[in-house]
Amino acid sequence: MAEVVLQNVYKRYGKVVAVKDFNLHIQDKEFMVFVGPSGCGKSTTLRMIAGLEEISDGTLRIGERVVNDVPPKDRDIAMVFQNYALYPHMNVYENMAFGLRLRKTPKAEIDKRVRDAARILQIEHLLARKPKELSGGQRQRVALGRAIVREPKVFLMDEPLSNLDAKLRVEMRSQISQLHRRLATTVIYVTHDQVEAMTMGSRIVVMRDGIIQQVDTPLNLYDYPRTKFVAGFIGSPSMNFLTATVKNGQFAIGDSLIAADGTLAESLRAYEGKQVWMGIRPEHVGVHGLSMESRGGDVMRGQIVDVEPLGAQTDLIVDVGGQVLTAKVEGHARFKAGDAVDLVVARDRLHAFDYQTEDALGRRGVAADTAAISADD
Amino acid sequence: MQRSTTPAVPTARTAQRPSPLAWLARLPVTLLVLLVVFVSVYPVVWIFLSSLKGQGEFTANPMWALPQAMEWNNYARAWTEGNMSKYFVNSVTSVLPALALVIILGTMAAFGIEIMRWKLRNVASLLFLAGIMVPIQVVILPLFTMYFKVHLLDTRLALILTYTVFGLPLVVFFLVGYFKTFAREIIEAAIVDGASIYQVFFRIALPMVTNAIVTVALVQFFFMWNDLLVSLTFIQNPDMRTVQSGLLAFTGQYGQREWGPTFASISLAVAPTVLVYLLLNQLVMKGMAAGAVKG
Repeated sequence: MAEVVLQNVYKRYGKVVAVKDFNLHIQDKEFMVFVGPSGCGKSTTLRMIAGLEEISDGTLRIGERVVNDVPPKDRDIAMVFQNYALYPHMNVYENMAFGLRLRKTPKAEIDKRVRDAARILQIEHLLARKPKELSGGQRQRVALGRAIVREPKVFLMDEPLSNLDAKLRVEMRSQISQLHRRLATTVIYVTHDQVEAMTMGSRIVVMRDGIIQQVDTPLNLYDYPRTKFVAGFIGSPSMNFLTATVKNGQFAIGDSLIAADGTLAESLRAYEGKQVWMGIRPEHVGVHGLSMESRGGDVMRGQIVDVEPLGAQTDLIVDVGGQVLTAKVEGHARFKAGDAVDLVVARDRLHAFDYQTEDALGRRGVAADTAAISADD
Repeated sequence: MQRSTTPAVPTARTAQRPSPLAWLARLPVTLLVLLVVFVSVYPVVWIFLSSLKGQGEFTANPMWALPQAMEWNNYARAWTEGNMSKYFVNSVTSVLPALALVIILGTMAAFGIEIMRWKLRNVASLLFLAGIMVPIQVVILPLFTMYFKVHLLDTRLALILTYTVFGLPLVVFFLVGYFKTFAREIIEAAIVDGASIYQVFFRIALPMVTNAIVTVALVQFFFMWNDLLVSLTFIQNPDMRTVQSGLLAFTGQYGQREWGPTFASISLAVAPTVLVYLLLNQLVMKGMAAGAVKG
């Protein structure tokens, strides 16, 4: 078993608290992604799990063992770094074999493991080369290979694809996912790229300012964000947020009234006459007459500020009563800046957030909560 | 099907040929460079040529005249009568141990200061840096008194100790700068791979700073080999003199200055540094560049 459990974990640098009361239960063989903006504490948390940073407070368990004071080499982990961190004076084979040699693994076993890993990663022909003779993608494969040969309980990956170009990143993303399925090992993966997080993770931890915002499956995060921050961070383009006043259980934006449904409508009653954030994803906003009518949404009148054609879709930036929102429409729709449009929103896809706390209303708690463990777990 | 086409751009050969105007514009710089090269190289060439002259040539011919009779015997006389063989042994046995110590201790200190995390590392770094600021002339008299009291005068240990201590700050300063350019993740990767701090040092850090070590070793070798002040101050015994202090006392058989053997001795004294530099200058350049720019 290689579950990883963090209980009330803190990381302090003097007076600065980088990670606050971090509670998380990562299941065996799970692909857990830490995502968040720069400085949110995701890499610090990963480095605490690796043993490269001391834990200021709390407990870290890998498998059955509390490893707070266990040095990195005895934690049975392997790590892949953002800048590959290959040993420049060793060739690929020696890079991959280094950890095993330090552990005095028999030569034949080292050779077998290195060649197996090289075959899986398709770098067999590169074994005699030095890192400087490799491309970025090849180096990243070698870094992965160095982790694989160790056969660790847990793989830790710190933004391993950030240094690759966009095309290679997509390719490697899929390869790492396949590798995870093949090796069936626990993976903790840090990224600031929400697309990576959504496509790779079994579950995702969204962090901000050292605090867990939400832990959930990718689709639950997308459908049921618990806070305005999570709603805005997950999804591309990010969710539209409009300031609205609740009138008769509906969102009032300028002259338009937008009705919500289900649990959201019930939650809005408590906010009658108050300001809230109304959230709607660009893909759930359409242009009247083109789409969305079947979703039974209400209409808002606006003026197009900008048109961003992307081929498969076109993003319309629309001014609605002084507030700007993005609508994602069909790729070849013909619009131009200055056009007046009637926007229709999918009623069942509306979100609302408290104006002060920015916590989600209504939909919150609908998702199956497999998130954070309690402190006494 | 292959087709031959005329290149649209000029070839490298024609592109490199400067126009007369560009050549003229570059002329002052070229002349300046030639002048600097002449000023640096001519004295060495002049010493070498003079080392092959007979005693009479120094008074009869102009100083820039070429040697008439190629007196290679001057070298033999410098080596035997001039005691250069003894001075060479003294220099080598003082400089090499000091060089080894300064490199081993300096590399370890730089690794400790830049790579390891401990409370007083910044203080230690500052202290080494302060060491660069202290000119040896300032401490030579107190050192003389100390060595006198502990009976270190006229011993090789006095030279080895002084060379090591005064060499360390620059070595540490240079190597700390070099270690700074390391991606920290490489060290962390080794730690996660299971390396102890000693294994990180000997198997990862040390092989990665080889060029830098060669560079600082060479610079230190030049300093130590060419030292006159320290050996002149701490060594009184003529049998213990190093090459440089030996040169100063160099006289011929009858106490008269014999210029041929003197210049031969100077050439012999300079030869190791020139040879070492000629052999290793590519490595030194690499070391300098890699330390200066993050690669």
